[in-house]
Amino acid sequence: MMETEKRQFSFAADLKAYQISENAVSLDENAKQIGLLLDQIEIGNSKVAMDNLASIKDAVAESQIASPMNRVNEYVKLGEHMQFLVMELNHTENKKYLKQMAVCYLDIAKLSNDDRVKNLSFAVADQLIDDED
Amino acid sequence: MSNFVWINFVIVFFFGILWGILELVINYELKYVGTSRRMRKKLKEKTEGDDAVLDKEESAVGYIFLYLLLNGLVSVLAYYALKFFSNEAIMDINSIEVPKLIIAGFGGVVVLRSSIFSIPFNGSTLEIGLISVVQALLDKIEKKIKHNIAANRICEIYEIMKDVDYDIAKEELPDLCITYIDGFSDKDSKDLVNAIKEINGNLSNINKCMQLGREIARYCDVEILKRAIKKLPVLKEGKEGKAMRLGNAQTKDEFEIRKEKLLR
Repeated sequence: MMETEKRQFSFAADLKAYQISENAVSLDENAKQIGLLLDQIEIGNSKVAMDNLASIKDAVAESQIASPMNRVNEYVKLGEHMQFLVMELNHTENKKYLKQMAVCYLDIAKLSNDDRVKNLSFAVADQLIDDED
Repeated sequence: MSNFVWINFVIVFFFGILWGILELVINYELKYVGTSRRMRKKLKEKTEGDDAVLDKEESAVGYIFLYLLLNGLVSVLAYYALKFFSNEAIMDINSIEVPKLIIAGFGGVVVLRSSIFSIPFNGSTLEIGLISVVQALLDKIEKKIKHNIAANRICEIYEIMKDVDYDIAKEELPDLCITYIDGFSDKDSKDLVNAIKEINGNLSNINKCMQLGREIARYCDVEILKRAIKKLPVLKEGKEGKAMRLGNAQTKDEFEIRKEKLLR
């Protein structure tokens, strides 16, 4: 990486970290909300769903204690596992909880101002919306 | 009385003046003083003279002139004293007395910056001697120069930042400017982010922009800032800036649209 790129990257990372730390309270609230909604979901015997659910819980817990930049990584993990969970449970009675979780995740994406999280949040939401349409 | 009398006195006078100029250039970056009036005139034309700061002349030129004159006069006095104490006729000079001129020139410099003794005063040390006069003048010059710099900086930054949208600029502008800064360290990066953090979000757009501009200008030349803004028309409140903000708004709306659909 060139020196200039390094400097830009470092500054952009610092600025992003500042923005995330500024929105930390709202981000944590949304993550906690996702955690609470997870408890409402009935997964039955699906091992895939069980694994994803556990991973989401981990990501929620980690995101609340992580540094601003690691927090984003946890949100990315959260989004990826949510995608799998939605795929697995989309046509069950859990859909209303998934939808509420997707709303919270959209808020997280908006507040974290990260493209990876934004794309994942749109993908999760679109998955739930498209199936309905 | 030959012409050499005047020539010697003029030379030693300019020796003192040159020493004074050298000292000012080293200490206070004289370029600010020199460009002060020109810059003010230029900025006054741009702002159509409605800027209160520009109307208040805070020139250091008078004090600088006085300081240089003092340096010159003390050197002349030193030359006179040298001649007087050597029992030489003052008016009987038939050549340029280079060694004596050098001794007198340096002697004047030393005498002007010397103190007989110092006494503690109000927590600081008060020097008794000609150095007090020199220091008082230098302090006054420094104050005036700093005021000039601050006044010019305000006007300059205002001119550069006046149409900029703070919300877009705080993300785009520092990122672009630091590309052109040599030796921008990780500490600088953190300091700059902290400085941006400190800008009060409740202030007006122009105030926030000027503070942002000042913070960036601490690390890069004002010219870089100016050119960066020129190359990023999206920062300005023009058509493109609005389009950019509309673009952001659309992205924000995408979140809301999806949320509405999910909650339906």
